[in-house]
Amino acid sequence: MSTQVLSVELTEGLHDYTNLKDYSQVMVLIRSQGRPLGRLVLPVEKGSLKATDIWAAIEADGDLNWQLSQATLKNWLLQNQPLEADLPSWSVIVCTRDRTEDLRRCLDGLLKLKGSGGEIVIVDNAPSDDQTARLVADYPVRYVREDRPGLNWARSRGALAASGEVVIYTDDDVVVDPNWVMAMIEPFGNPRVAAVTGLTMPLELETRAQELFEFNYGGFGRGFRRKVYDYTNMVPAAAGRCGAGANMALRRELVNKLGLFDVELDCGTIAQTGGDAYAFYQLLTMGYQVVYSPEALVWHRHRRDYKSLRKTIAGYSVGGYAFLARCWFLHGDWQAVKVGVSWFRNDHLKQLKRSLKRNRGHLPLDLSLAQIGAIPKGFQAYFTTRKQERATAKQKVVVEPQPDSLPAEPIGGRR
Amino acid sequence: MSNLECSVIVPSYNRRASLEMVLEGLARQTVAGYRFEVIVVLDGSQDDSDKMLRRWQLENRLPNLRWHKQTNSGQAVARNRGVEMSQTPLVVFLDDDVVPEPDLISVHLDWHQREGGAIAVLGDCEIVREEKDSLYHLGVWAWWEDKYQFRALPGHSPGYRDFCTGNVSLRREDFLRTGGFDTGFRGYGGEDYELGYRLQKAGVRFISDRQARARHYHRSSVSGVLRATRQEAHGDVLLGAKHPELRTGLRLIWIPEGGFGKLVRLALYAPWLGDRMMGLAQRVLPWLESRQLRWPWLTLFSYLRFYAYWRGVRDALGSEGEILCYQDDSLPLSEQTLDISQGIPPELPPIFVDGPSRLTITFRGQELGQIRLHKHIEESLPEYLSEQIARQLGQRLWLRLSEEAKPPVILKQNRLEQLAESRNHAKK
Repeated sequence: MSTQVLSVELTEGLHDYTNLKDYSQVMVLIRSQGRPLGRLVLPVEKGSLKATDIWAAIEADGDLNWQLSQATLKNWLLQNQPLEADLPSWSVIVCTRDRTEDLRRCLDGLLKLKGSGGEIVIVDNAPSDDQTARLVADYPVRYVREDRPGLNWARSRGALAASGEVVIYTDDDVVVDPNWVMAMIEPFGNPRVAAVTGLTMPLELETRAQELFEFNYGGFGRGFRRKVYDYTNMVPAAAGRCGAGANMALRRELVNKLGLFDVELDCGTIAQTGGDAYAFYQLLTMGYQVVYSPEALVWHRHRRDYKSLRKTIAGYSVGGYAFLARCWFLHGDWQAVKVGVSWFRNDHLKQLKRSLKRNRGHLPLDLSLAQIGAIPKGFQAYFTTRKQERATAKQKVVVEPQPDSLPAEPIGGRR
Repeated sequence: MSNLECSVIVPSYNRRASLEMVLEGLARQTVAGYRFEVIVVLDGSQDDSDKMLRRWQLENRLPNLRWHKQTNSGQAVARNRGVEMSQTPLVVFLDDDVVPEPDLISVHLDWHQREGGAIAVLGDCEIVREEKDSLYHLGVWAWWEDKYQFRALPGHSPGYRDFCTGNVSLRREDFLRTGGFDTGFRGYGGEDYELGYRLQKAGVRFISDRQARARHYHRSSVSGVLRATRQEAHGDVLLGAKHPELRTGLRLIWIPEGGFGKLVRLALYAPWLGDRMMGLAQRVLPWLESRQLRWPWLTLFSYLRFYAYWRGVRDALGSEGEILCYQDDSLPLSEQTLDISQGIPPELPPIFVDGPSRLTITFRGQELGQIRLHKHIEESLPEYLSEQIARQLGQRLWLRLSEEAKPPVILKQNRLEQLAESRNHAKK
């Protein structure tokens, strides 16, 4: 009972898939000219999946059909249009902590990126040994260490060390698509765009926990249509909907000037998540745009075991409410109250109801309860982190920038 | 006087401090001071701007600074007067709150030297942001940023509504040939679009360059912008009266249904009540803003602006009947044809952005169908067109294309891959 994840490029033609004996179903990402158009979940029959079945499913899916014809026609209509000339330089920043196996796969993916004018920076966050440093030495990337534990501090350090105009963040448990960087930097031609997020698909759905996260919880899916958010069409306090930290790009100048990540949020801190949402929040309130571009595709390996899944989902509640409390108390944003209430009512309570009624595709009851039970911890996390922040503000600790261990080397676009 | 290449014309009204900043900016230009002259026209200022200008003349930091004082008679008259005073082949218009960056004049001069002929160069007036912007200021910044961005995109030809007088240069000869600003426009707004339209009709090409930069110290308030909107409506009415072919593109060409329609009736029939209600509503705005209730603020503000606009229409036209007659006298939608046998052509005629128009799409000489374009397209035009064509005529186009060849419309290379490749070339 597991799901095989496949990617199908329509311009290359469809073919049969055999060798699927261990899987009960297949999740297919449909792409045309590299552009993700939609996904289908199809059953496996006798250990194989026929091309005709895939095509029939595509034809039966109205939305996918529409997307396909529109994308193809638009591409054809715009074939003679000049391309955006000067795109910014970029730095990909991978924050990692003691996960060399994942990081190796991530680095292998990064080396296949297309488009020159950038660099890759690995930020090693409070490592317990030198394994990461030794692994990274084999790759043409820069290595930076951040000793304060916490994903946000690692992101901050990465932005300080980076040299590109745009910093593109991803995590070590992610494999990127070769066109990822170009899709990420393309919207930055417009100065009002301060951040870009992309589509995050599952790398594998081998275990039940991974399937639960992807299908029953909803995964990272944010649809297959490009969206442009700003404060007129998106409540800044609902910024979590813009995208996820495993797949986002920001203007480096803004990250450093506004200290977007200099906050005790996200992995490794008591709040566990929410650092990305808070960064988007600050940008949206300043009038900047956040673009969601499904063309910027990455594959994320979800947590394999159930315990970490429960921790992750509870962590979203903690970080989410810590973030909302921050908006409300620190910024005086009353829309945060509305967002918090509707999140609780429309997501948490609804999921709880489905679990109790045992509807199709429900979350196990303990997961629903865990994410509700974690809400008070979110508020607690906010007050704890504020206390810490006030204490450090009094001490005025200035952290000296550390020298980089390796010189910058251009990556990508080598032919 | 023979060395002078251009005249910078700055009309000013009661803004001594910011006018001085503009002069400071002009004194810091990379172009040597003897190559341009500065003409300030004080349009009835009563804040000792003339004393400040006298001091500047004494200090002689701008070698060719001249100024003229007149009784208050509007921006159009002031700018025309400035051009009359100038004797150079080129004129650059700046507003009195638009502070030029050091290379502004050199960018303008370069364009005219390189291109020659009848062109107008539209520069940026980037709104200066503050530490903590008010919602109103944020909206102003966003609106202008989008405008500058889209009018400078490749494939987008600026239209008459892109002609703003805050930072623009053109040949004096073209200005005089078209008759300059219409002095009938006395309030805020309208005179720049009107001149822009006449310039374009006279064959002046607009070029938008984001490198011609100036900083705009925009200092107005919500009540100020509501007053300006009311005058803007007046300007729209005048614009449509002078050029009936533009009426279809004006906001007042149809009265909407529903809630907004009721606001129009309120403005037309019970302005005494409407003004009072809007006055009260305006007081709610700061309260909403202090609680950062952005959506309610935006909604209320859009109602207020809408009301102010129609209040201005009432000022200009009087009654609903007269508005209906005015709307009726408008010419039918402009009809145009675009051939897309090879996709959307790289160079589009500029007229597309001027108001709504009906566009006939042909493919190898045969008509595919018509699409309706909406007014004031504020995004990249080719992208907008491709979206509309794909949505409205997609099926027919698909059929025609698949008759031509099989497999029909699949292009081998992805746009992102093309981008990556062009970038690799550029680096080498």
